[in-house]
Amino acid sequence: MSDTAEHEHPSDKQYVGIAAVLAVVTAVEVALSYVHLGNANAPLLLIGMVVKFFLVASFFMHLKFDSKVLRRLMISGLVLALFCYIGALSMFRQFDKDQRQQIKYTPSGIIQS
Amino acid sequence: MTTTAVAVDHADQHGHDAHAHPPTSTGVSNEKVAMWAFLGSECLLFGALISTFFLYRDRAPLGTVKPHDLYDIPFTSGSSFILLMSSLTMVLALSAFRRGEHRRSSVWLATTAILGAIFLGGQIYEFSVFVREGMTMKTNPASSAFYVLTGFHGTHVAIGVLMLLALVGMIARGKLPQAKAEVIEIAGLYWHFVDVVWVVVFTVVYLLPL
Repeated sequence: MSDTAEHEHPSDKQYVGIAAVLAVVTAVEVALSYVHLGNANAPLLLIGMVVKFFLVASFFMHLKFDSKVLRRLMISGLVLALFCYIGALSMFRQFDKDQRQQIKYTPSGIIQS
Repeated sequence: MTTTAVAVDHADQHGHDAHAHPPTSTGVSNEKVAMWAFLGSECLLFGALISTFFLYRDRAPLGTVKPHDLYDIPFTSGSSFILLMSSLTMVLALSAFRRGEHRRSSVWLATTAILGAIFLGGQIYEFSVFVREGMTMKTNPASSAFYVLTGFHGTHVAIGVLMLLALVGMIARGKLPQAKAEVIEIAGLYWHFVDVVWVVVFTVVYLLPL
């Protein structure tokens, strides 16, 4: 298949079906936020988020059916953002851990070391 | 015959707008590639804002209100549902336009704009409640990160609503011929992206426990 190959887009009925799946996943996510499953809550919520993200990107944004060039553009932006910010967050968290041992928040909002 | 005429003729023969543009090296119109490149760069912008929120979401001096203390999950879930459904109406607008049903496409586009405006109204209401409860932009790092992230998203929704209304106006005045369905597709890409960003924001900001 060439990089520019395109496929038939879904029908209106299929779009409505995808929207129904999105609504159900959102409802499950909201319900999950009220149920305490210990450490399982966060991964389950993130899985729901990823499923919704890919459904919208693949079908509503037609990434599944459009040229591969567009898929690569989106995926490279996503991967770059993920690596960049996971790296930055880990770095900040590490510095933050060292710093929090010295900083105290006061009711007046003034930070004293 | 000019290049544009050839392209439009080609599109008419195939009953599809996908090739209604001058030939490009990628086979995809430059406008569409540009929109995708823009959306790729937007991933970095929202990535930065979401990371900042993650970093500061529990940073609040004792006695000040954090965003997590004020969330109204049922209300925000309703707003999120409305925005998700606006993606459906957007895609139905494009589908109708491609079939040549311009009037129906206008109705779907207007519906999308109304759903977007309802979402925005909900966000303004949420912000006003938070401010009344004592959480302003300057209250603490957590509140600043919250307002900047959700405010930036809201601004994107507002721009999207204006874009949709402009499209409705163009269709009404007959300034959007069948061969230019890609204009609606490109506006739709922006709208779906705004929706997809909210999918992430809703989960990581509102639903994930501290």
